[in-house]
Amino acid sequence: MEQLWTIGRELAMGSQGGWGQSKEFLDLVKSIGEARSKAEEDRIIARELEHLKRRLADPDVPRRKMKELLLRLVYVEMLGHDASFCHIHAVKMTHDESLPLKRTGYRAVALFLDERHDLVILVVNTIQKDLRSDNYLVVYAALTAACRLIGEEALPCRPRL
Amino acid sequence: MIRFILLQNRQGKTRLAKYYVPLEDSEKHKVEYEVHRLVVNRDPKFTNFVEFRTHKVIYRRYAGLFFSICVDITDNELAYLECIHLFVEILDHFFSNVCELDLVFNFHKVYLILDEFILAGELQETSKKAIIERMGELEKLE
Repeated sequence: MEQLWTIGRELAMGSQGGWGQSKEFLDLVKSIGEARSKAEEDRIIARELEHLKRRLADPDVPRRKMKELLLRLVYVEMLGHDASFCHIHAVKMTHDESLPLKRTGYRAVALFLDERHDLVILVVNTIQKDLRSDNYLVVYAALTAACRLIGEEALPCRPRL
Repeated sequence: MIRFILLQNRQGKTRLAKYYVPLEDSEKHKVEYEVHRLVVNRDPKFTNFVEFRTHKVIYRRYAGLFFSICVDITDNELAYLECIHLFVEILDHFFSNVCELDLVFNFHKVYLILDEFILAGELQETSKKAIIERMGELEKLE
């Protein structure tokens, strides 16, 4: 009966695990939601961070998978846990040619960093380049991040539009 | 200017947090805890605006979720109350009858919607139609 229920649930949620997310992510959210105490939640997230650290270090991770790993890290940070080891991966993703990945990178960077962060210097160049792009969606992604990351010191770097 | 936006359930679990001013992690924790305590314990007969430190929080409860926006003390409360309602209407349209689970599993899309009409802590777009159309365009790319 339990098995039937599981199959039924997976069918209802689709092959991606429902909501267009992987089963791993759904299980993470589910286990955090079912955590009885803060300590248990911290344990789950510590385990998840270890797993993500290993996966991100793997050079053979497909780019689409990288996007999902980054979103999981955004989720972990949103819950107030430290995932600073992954900030550089978010910065790297802003350099990607693929628009969905670039947008995910910018979104993550805007959530992880602020104008006082050391890594901002690595994003300024990309923002400059993307603000000159012909694709308005690329410009829009860069502008959204620029609002959060470009402080007074970096203002002279902005391109003349 | 908007300082931060929080979506929290009745248990105090943060479903979405977007900060438009830089804060330390410990400070974020404290803010989320204080805001939740502030809005949950407040009598429903009172107004939806409450002073918070040197700013003010405008909040609104939809089912089991509290949508809270912290803004400057001089800002217009009613404008932000409408802003919260616009946000909820867009979410409802985008996820066709939104529920808390949609926000949990699609938090990245909620961030995207937020970026569509609030930029650098200021309200940029008030047209629901324009936002939904643009979201449709972005969805095609995913």
